[in-house]
Amino acid sequence: MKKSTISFFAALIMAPAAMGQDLQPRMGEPLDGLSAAQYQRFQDGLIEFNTILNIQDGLGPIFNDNSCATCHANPTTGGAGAKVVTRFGVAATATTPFDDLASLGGSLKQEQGIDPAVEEHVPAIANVVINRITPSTFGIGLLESIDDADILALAAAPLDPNVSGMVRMTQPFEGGPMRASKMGWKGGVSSVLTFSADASLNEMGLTNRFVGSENAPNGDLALLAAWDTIADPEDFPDPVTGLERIDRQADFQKFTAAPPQTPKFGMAGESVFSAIGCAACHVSTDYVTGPNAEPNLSGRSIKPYSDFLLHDMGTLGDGISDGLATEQEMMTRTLWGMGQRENFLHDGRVTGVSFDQLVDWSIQEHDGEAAFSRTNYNALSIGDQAALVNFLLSLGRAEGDWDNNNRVDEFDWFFLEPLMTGPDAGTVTPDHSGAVVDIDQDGDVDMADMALFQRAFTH
Amino acid sequence: MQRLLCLLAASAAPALATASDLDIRIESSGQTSITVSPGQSISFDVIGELTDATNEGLALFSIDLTLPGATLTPVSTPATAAMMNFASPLGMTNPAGFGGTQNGASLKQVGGMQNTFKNSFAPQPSGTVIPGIAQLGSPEVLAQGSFNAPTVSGSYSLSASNVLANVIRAGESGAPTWLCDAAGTGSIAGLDVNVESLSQDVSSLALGAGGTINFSLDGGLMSAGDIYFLVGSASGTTPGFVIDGLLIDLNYDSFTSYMITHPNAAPYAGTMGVLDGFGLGAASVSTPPGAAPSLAGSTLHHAFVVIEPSGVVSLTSNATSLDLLP
Repeated sequence: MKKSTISFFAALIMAPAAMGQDLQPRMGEPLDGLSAAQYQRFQDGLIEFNTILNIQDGLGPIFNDNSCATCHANPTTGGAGAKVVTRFGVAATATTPFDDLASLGGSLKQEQGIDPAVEEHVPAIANVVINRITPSTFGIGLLESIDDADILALAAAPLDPNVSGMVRMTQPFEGGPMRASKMGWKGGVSSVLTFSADASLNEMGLTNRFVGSENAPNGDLALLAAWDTIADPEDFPDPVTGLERIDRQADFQKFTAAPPQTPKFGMAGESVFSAIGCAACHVSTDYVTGPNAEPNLSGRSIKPYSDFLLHDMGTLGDGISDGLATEQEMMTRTLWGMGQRENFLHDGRVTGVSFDQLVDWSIQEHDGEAAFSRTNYNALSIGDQAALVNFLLSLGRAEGDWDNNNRVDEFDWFFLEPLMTGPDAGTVTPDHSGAVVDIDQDGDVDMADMALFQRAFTH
Repeated sequence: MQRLLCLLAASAAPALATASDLDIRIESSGQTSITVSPGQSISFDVIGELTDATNEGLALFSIDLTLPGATLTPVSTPATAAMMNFASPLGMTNPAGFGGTQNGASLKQVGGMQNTFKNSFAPQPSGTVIPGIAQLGSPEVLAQGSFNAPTVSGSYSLSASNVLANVIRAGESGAPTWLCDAAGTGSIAGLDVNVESLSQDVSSLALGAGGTINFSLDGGLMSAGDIYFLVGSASGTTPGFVIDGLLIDLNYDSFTSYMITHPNAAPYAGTMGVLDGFGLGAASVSTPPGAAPSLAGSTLHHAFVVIEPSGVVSLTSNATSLDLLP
């Protein structure tokens, strides 16, 4: 079956819903309200995102993995991942700045090569070696669409006197004015296409129209010349659509929906979140996306829980200097979708324990400008800490998804069935266990919710 | 390629856009408009039909029912195999059941859903989906119930609102589950209920020829054994007047006063009496040929009131019209 045929049938079965109150899209699903053409591009992009590159396609010579989806995989294609990449460099001294060891292949070490001869290693001179986990790409088209003025305003007027973030303006590869960056651990990426082009080269070794030169294995240009047998740029336009791989990858990411949040509002834990200062950086107010070349991305209300500013995180800094971002500065991470993540912080060090322990551990690691918030958290009652955890667990939860696995199935119903109250009960608060299925958030679990729940079931 | 197909299938969550709507109409013995006596027990059917065939039939429905002036009680537990599949335990409903949740005098969320997700762990639903219900061309009686008509004469409507419906997606086979889409709200036709307690056999009287007009009084069972008064007006029905808090659709005039003070006086008969064990009564007016020719061209209206043993007026009837011809 040809790709175009798959796409055709996929479009038939996946056209967005148009009637009544809609369910929030689950992670990995397309934005609602896409045009048929945009939907097709999302589908084509999804296929591209999953496509495994080989050497003839331009993979390597050095790379981290051979497809986007190999790393961006949880809970489904496009999501975060436990896979880490390695960054290295030489720490700054009193007289020398941080050295990213670009001449030795830094600061990113590609983990694999098309032949053992080209595989990279961390240079012995490096005294900073850190990991970075795979970030989620869900909803980043919406992030790109946030008006820069909103970010600049947050920098100009911090929400709490303990924080003072800095906007990082960067130039999109595709041109245009400098933009406030909303992607990248250090805020170095301001457009989805830039992200796709950059990652295609640095993670898969795919040169493209924006970055046309390969990374040399540990900076060895002779070795590169010996193993780089595919002419650059390796990415090329599809003869039918005119789109390159990076365009299709960008389309998929651009048109993925924001992670759901269930319940959508009103949890006590969100008040705690704000009260202890988390929201000073992980801002809890909605952004309304601004103008975008894709009109359907404009005017959307989103709540990613980030100010997209660089903050001095003290000991939580990753020790890597990147452009304007110092070793201690990190861009505030979005929290949407975090309820389904298993690895936290930039290097994924927080993992392997229960969700409430993940949250607690992550908060304890917060330092620098976030230290005051950590202190406030530690002073909370156990009940308030639990409320905070429950709120954070709601970020990424689909409506009706009791067990929070991005699926609505029979197992969820087993727990939800006893929670039916009938209309006008007024007993189901956002913190009630039934809030997962009080989809219209009117305080009861009734047939109106069942109508939505029934449609939430998927194969 | 296999992997790609699986990924596509796994992410196929958004619902299919569909034009399916659910039309609702309410009938009583096949009629959409009925004339009944006060308090009369009326049975009704709620009939649903989807507006197109781009689906595999109804998966869920829920409607609110309201009849001003009457208290609705939950509709019956379904008796047909098709509709039993929407009621617990085969289907799933609110805790109050398929018949609806009483909300004052109204019913909220009558209906339920089929076991489209093939539940086998939770106690309910436990049924096996029946596709094709209420598809275009096959209207289905979704619910059946009864109510007692309002006790005050007038025009009412048993109406449906807040219609919610899901349909089984076209092409679904139930493996592993039945995917469903939202259906819109189509047309809603309520049941018109005209409560009339007073009727007459003809609407005009030729004074030259003379004749008899017979009135039928029906106060409903709740008025059985109570006293009634039939009165008239020569000056129309609006604004009427109020007695014991109830509006009687007659303008009070000297003719009204005369009938009150001269019950059962010729040419009338039976204008005051006691309703029988069914709340029924009869009255008449008879004129000889050539009587009162000067009244030709005028119109009289009549209505009756029922008086409880306590002396309080408990019912005022509708007004009927009598044209006096030459």
